[in-house]
Amino acid sequence: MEEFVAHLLNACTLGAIYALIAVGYTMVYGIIKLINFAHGEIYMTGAMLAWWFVTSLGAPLLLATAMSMAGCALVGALLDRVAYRPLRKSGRLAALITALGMSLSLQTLAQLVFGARPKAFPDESIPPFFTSGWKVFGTTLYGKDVAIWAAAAASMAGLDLLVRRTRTGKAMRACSMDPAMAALMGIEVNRVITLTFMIGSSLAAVAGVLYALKVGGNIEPRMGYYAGLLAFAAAVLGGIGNLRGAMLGGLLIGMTQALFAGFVSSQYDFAFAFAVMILVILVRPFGLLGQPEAQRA
Amino acid sequence: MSRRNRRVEWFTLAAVCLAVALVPLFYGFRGQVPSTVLKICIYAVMALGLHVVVGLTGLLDLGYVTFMATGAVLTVVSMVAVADPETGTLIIPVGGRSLRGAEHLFHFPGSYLLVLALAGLVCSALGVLRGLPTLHLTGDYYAIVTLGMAEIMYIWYRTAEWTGGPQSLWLNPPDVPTLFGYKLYYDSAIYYFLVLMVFTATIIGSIHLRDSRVGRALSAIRLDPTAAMACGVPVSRYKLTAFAVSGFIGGIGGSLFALWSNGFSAIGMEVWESILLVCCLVLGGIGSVRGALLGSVVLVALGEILRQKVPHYSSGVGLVWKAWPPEARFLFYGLILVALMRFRPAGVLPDRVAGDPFPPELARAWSERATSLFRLGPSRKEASR
Amino acid sequence: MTEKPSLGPATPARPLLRIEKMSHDFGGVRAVRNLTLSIADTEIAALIGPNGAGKTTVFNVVTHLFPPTTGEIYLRLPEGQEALALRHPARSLLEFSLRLPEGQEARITGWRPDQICEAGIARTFQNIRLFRDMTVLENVKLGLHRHTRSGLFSALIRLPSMRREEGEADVAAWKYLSFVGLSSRAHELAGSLAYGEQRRLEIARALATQPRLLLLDEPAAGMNPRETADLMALIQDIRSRGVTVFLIEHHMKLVMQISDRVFVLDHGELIAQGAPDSIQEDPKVIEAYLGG
Repeated sequence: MEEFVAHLLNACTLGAIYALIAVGYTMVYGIIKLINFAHGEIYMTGAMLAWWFVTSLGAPLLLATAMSMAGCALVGALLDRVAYRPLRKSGRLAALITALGMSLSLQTLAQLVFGARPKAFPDESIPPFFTSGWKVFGTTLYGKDVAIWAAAAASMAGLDLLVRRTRTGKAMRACSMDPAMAALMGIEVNRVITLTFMIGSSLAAVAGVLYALKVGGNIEPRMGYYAGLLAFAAAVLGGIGNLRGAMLGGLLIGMTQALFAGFVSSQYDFAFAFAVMILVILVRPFGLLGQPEAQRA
Repeated sequence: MSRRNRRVEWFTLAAVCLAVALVPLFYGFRGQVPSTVLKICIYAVMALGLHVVVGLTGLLDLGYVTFMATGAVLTVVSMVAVADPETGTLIIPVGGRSLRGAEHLFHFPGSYLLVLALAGLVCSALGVLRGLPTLHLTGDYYAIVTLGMAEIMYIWYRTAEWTGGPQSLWLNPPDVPTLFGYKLYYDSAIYYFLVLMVFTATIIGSIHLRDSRVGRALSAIRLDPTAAMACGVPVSRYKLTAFAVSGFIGGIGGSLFALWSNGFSAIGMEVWESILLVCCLVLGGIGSVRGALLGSVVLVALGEILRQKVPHYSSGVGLVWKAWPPEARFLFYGLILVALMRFRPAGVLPDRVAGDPFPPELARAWSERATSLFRLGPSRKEASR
Repeated sequence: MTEKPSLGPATPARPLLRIEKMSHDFGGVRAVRNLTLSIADTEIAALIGPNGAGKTTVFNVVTHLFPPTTGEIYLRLPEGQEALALRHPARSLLEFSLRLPEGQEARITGWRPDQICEAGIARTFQNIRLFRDMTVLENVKLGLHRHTRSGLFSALIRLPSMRREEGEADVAAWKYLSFVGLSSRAHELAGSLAYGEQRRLEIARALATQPRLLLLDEPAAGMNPRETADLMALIQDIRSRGVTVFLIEHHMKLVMQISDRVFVLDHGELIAQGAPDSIQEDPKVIEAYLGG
């Protein structure tokens, strides 16, 4: 029982992190139908930048996170401007190959700049709340888990409000339905896309910091690759292009993986998560909350 | 492709093969140059294998490394497997340990050719198996699924016991397979010419395939699967054929690569290797045979050059000579992908060159035979088929 | 005007194609409703109706680009000849064949598109679907796919038999191109042809599959009067060579001049069928076109 609760708590935390990354994936896919492979690298960049701000500039964690969000938003916007925007008119595979290339470059760049050694936030930078714990059902609930849930929930509630209630959100939804029509209605599609990249990237940065806090380190250039791939799986599972679906999918994928790692095999947890992803794409490519596309010749 | 261009193409490719054959005259079989040439040839073989699926059929396969790894691990495992002298059971000596008095199980005359064929066939089957559930996928979803499958295989190879897991399996001198009484050391003449033969055969096969009925059907599937079906092309069967051929070549390439690298290390078979192969195709032009060759030459050579000492700028010291870290090459591969898609999406050496007049002899043949050969509407011959 | 028996002499005695109670839904929208019609051997039949009436859907279901929601489709197999192999209707990759008695109808509902092509139905598309990056000749050679056989191994080592077959296919494709008047463009890219030429090339490609039934989806769309006249002659020439033609067309002059029978579809339902003259006077048809 204690073990189950402990794994469940872990699973929720991992799920919340995946959900945060998946949201960025799904927003970009919703608008420009691109699997932004480099999104996982932005998540990595977020963690790296925050670590760098904390260790080199001595910034407090919260400020470092905010700065890293801004930095990642910039990286995301640049990515779109430099790599993806020139390809709007080319095929989807060309854009996918570009995304792969960007992912590869960013990952290697991080390795060349920061080195391959895993890094961790120094202990003194972590607020005491994160390490305090309470007994719940015979297991310990740590402050960091609570903080991660709260941060993830707040970001996603904010995003949901933004997309559903504001003018900007309405423009985003219009662009994802029909960019050409949105442009005719006077929406500056490219600005909306840039904004989407910025929002998604800053959420990924938050996810990166939270992950590093959760596992107590492991900030390294390769961290974004698997996380990104699984977040994509989460986006597909929820129904790609669907914001709430991505949140749900992230939770489900994260929980599946963490529970598998806890109860079956921690060696094959990623393999299992990939198998889930493949299964979802094969069986229900439109996701849990999505609609199957009507068949047309 | 017109006849003149086709002749030029054959001439170029023959020149490439000849050049590879002449390298040992100047550099021998040992050392940096022949070793790099061999690696280029092996990667070119695998790039051409990938080309069958990516270039002809138009499906972006990001998991090709699976075939490379499978071919390599099958080769190494079968070559190092020994019988335990006491119990007689099969042992795979992991981590370079050797057993005194143990006998190799799969060393007999011609055994390497058998292993090579086996590696090809197993990968062929793997390709079909992998293709069956994904037949209805196209575009980015196909790419992601193949990537996911490759990751699963990678995780398995990295953790399984029989592959050596995270450790390497080395081909110690007694383990190296023999061909016609010669040991296939990575710097031996016989290995060099074996690779050259496979390389040449793959090039010839690729061109023949492209210019054949099968290749035409695969291209039709790439260009418009619906129209292909309406023309009577059984799309699923042709896709599976492409997967099988592609897997076969990948397995062969992997097997040769195992000999080149003198062992197998699962860690070295990450998914990024398949991205490198995709990059080879993209660089030369997706769908182009010459392009695949050019891509392998440039990118493999680039990787080797980056291992050498190059000038580095170091703050405070100025220029110093040191090698880049081995991962640095991936930075270049990534940037090359991005730049190509942006500025030259058709690649450096795109394939198709249209248009010369209909060959006169054929026009003559037409006037004589056309009336009898095919007629509109079903004939007795077709209906009975 | 009194009720004319517009659903009159409906079924030909031995129809080539028979569609029985076929319906097709697009996610709740019923595109074709309970359609029953038959096409006689070597006739020119036309399917007309206002935009969105479901005409192309009928073609797509017959060639199984998607399956009918309900209903069956039958095709008469060639008479006086050894019968075509009947394919197992599953999507399975395994094909096994059964022999049918001569001249019998085969239920082709659920056959794969390529099997339907082999059974003798070829088609063109409303939005031309040529292989634009291939040459004109190669496009037609793809139509010959089912009538050539060289496989993977003969391709890889380029057996003499395969070379011979390629030569024969070239000759045959050349012949189909001359038939539609495109032989001088054989080595140009299909995408570089003019619009009307692309339509004719698509017909040549469909003819190369050597069909008994040719489905033409708006063959005259976008053509000028001269091209349309040429097309009419071409269609009649095709029919005179024993190929049944079933076409969708908005060009009424063409339809009324060359077709033997006309079917009128409105909102997915067959509202009239018969000879062109009777159709032109049918009140239901007039209402469908004018009253919307």
